[in-house]
Amino acid sequence: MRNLFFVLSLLAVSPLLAQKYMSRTAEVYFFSDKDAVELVEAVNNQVGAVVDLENGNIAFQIQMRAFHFDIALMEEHFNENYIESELYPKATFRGSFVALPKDLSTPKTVTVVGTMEFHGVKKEMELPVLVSLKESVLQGDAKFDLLCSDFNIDIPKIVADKLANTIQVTVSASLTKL
Amino acid sequence: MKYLVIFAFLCSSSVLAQDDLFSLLGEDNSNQEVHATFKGTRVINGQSIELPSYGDLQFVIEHRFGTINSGAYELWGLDQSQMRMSFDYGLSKNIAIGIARNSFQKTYEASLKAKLLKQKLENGSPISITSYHAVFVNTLKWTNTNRANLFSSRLSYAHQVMIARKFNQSFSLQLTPTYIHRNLVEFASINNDYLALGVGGRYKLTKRISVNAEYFHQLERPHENFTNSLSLGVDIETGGHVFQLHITNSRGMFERAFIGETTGTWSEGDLYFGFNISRVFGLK
Repeated sequence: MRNLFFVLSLLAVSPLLAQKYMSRTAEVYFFSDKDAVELVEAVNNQVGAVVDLENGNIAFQIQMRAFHFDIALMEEHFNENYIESELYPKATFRGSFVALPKDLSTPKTVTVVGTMEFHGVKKEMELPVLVSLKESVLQGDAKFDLLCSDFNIDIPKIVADKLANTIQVTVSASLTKL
Repeated sequence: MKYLVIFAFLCSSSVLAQDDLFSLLGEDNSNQEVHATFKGTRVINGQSIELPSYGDLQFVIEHRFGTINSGAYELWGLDQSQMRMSFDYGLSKNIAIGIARNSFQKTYEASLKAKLLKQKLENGSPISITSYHAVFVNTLKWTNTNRANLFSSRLSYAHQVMIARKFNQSFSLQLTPTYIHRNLVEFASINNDYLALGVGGRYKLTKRISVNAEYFHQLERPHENFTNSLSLGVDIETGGHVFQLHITNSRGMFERAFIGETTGTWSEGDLYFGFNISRVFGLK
């Protein structure tokens, strides 16, 4: 009887981890959509991502200081003047897949709805994500635009010719089963 | 045993949403270095703890005009200007080298600046420490050509340790103990070495504008005519440039000159208007 209880309780716990996929090295790349002499672009490949295929929930955690620019001064200005990383050290996205197909062996575009929290501002978003599941690696790719003005990021007039309000973001994550 | 079952079922319930997922990711924000304690590599006249970034060449042009109380005839000093040009290069993340030329006594400079300790956001050093070492070469023609004039007599040195803390987004403060050595002094009664303690700070008014202040107190004055250097200024940052505008009682722009040989006094209004402009070129 005791053993039976034990097995039952293990069975009950196991789904908690069974369908979770995680990565700490997901990549977020962005660039400012402007024809300028100096392209404003940065990449962060230390992004944390977790997906629970059981209920379709998604969580992303992005450390702002892990965005790296080719130009050191740009990186300092990004942290100091634009996203204020000491006040808002990270961005998060919490959301879920709207309808997750059962078969993910071929890449499929799935809609994700959720809340982006960035620079202290929360915004509801709906994003198409290309998802596939092969050999227990869950791959997700997304491309979307963010508006600086949506997230209270001021662009002074003096740099308006270098920096667009629209930032193009590319996310790529390979999550492994927990 | 019963509790274990209840616990297990509680855990597996679908109540746990994304917050649970975030707990899997954990926090890893603890050990980041503090950025931009000062906007520029100088507070006003004196060095700040900041270095040019690795692979960046920083070109700085500085001007100090004549005394403001010289009157309208001299356009309040604007007719007379002294300048300093410098190139500083970030050899690595923690070491920079520089060369410069000053109008004052036609002085050339070579310098080495090293980051020794960096302030962390949490769990780490509460301060940053940088050291600065410079040698100055006076290249004026010798006034007395009848005596043996040695090249070493042209040299003087400055060694500084900058200790700074960024208290919050706006406010940073720096202490600068300074040691200066002159190989040749005017009279035998004057010390070749002297010590000074500097205090500098900045307060950000907006994201791109800050007010700065700086004071150097001479612990041993090389000569009674020399006063302590006090400067007030504004930093304006525009992309790749930093403009620093200031009013100071020091006209010299290198350490030996403004720390040890300042002659102006604030109370009598013999002050100098000046500016620094820095531009960064990425060479990496």
